[in-house]
Amino acid sequence: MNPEIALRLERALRRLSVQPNVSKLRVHRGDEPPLNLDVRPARPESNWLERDIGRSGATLGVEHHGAFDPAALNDAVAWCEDVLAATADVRELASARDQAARQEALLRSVLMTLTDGVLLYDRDMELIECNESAVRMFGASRLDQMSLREGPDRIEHVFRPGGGPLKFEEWPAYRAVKNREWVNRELLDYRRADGQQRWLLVNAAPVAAGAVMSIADLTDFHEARAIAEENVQVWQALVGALHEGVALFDVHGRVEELNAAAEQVLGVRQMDVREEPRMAVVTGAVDEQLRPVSELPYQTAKRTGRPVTGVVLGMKNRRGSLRWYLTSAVPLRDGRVVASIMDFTSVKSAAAESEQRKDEFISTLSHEMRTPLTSLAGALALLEAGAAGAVPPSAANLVQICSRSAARLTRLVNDVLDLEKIVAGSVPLTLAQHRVSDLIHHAVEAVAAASRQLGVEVVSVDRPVAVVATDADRVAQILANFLSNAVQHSSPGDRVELSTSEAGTHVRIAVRDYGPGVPAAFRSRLFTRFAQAEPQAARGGAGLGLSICKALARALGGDVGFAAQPDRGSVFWLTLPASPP
Amino acid sequence: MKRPLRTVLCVDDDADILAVVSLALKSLGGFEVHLANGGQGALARLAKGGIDLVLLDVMMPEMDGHETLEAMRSNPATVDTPVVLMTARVQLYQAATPPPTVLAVIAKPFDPVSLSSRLVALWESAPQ
Repeated sequence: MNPEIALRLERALRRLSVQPNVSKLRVHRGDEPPLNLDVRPARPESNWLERDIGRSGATLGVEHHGAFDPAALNDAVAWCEDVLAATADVRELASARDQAARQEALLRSVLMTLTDGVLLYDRDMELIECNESAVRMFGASRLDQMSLREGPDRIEHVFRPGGGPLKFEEWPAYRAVKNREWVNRELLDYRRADGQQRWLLVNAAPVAAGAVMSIADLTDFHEARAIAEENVQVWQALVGALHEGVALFDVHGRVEELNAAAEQVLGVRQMDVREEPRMAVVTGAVDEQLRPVSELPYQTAKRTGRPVTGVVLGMKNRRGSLRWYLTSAVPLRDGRVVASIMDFTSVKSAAAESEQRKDEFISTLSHEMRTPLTSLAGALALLEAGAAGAVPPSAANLVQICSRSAARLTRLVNDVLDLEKIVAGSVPLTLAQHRVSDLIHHAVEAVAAASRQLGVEVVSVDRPVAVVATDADRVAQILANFLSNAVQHSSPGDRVELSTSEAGTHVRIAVRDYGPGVPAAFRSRLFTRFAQAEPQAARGGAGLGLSICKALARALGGDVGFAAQPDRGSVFWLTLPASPP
Repeated sequence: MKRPLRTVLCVDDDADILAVVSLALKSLGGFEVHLANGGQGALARLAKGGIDLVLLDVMMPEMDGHETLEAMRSNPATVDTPVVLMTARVQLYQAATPPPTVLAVIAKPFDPVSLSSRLVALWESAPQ
């Protein structure tokens, strides 16, 4: 037992201890060591008496050998009860104080870490506490003005949104203190000392001490939302004004938004999808070769997560006529897809018409050129043959130049007309079964002399066993073109390699060179007419060779193509339909 | 034994071609060459007789090669006179077979140096 309490208990027991028949006193509580007071020696006839000390949980024991004043016992019990009760109060108070201090520290650290400003007011509307964020938000001097003690009838620099300055009785903390009102999410407009406008979201709650007010600065969020809303408006206006159809598909592939231009194509109405997203109604879409399309671009974009651009689709309109559309789709991060669709039927037919007119013009021009060419080349040939007498040596070289140029012009004219015939399908093809190895062998043979002269080795790197049904002369023409290009673009000592591989139902013959490669800018035009990567004089062709190859390959049921090689050189390939073994 | 080819009538509206053909056939082939710049002129010259073979351009203004050929074939005097057509649009005849009354179709531009020998070969192969 604590010595101070023991002393006070001793004092409380004094009236009892002076009783002549009392020999020993003891106060005992729970596990605590008892307080023993030996008053005088015990006698053999002594008795032991115990009394509870009120509600303290302690007992008072008395050893006596005869009667003593019962009032003294009652006094002692009452005194002891007072002493013990008093000590209990002190202990509880101390522990309550500790706990309060701990909670306050916790609360303080929470307040300090909050990004919201927190203001604590007392019942007189005096600001008694605030956290760092509040100081940062308002500055110390302005915080002072937010107390009633300072006496203004208005909260300076704070306004109702779109209204005047805030009166003090409108200040949420005031309302919480005076009206015991809970203020929830009230938006206020605050002007900072530097003139900047901030949007504050305020809560206030009455507490015993007064009121607590929390303030969040929503300016950035508010501005972002305003910008977003403005953007949405701009985009809606823009999308609405587009001739191109634009639609937004939700994660389930239903139309969530669309502009007027997209309504017809997708078969859903703007006003309907605004109520509820709907599935698009697109049937009978075909590709450029009029084959049915199983997956639309927005579905492809959704499935692959990648943008799909420039897909051409044919679809019938309500009147049943086929229209052509250029479509694209871009997946969004949230799983939705934005798709666009443009009707380019008129552009497509205009382009086709213009292409046809161009072809006709070139064809007519080529025909018209044949007559003067006949005279020109003919006259030159006769001159060279001496039909008009001996040509003086000084003129012979000039005649040769004219003759070479005339021959080149003749080749060009013939190429143009050949191409026209192949594309028109009026070139007779002689189809027969040929071993690919034979076709390759003949192609290598055909360029052997020229390649040897240039020091370039042309080799077949594998032994293909495939058989193709094709026109050997036309294949020879294509491979000769590839090989002669490859050889011409190689340096002495380089190799040109022929290889074969399976490509589905086709056999692919590839010609690989190790020359400088095709300039990147030129690659997309490689197989188009009159395309040449370098000045014509340098190589002597008219730029029709590869487009003739392409037309021939298509006529044979195959195709040609090009693949740039990462290190150096190029691969030109030809595919031919394989014959079943 | 067929008698050798001697006289050739060249019909073309292009004077330069006539000049080239004429030079080729005269100096390299040694033929007697007559010239006409259109169908009417050709028929007029044929009416005079003495023409072994006609080298006839197809594309000509007014009376073209086909009309000229038709007129020749409907005239007993020229019904069998061998005709060789010259044309820049040779593919027209590649798709279809050449007219049966024509010996051959020569594509423009042609090689004038070998023209004479080609005509001789055609003349030799022609039915009597």
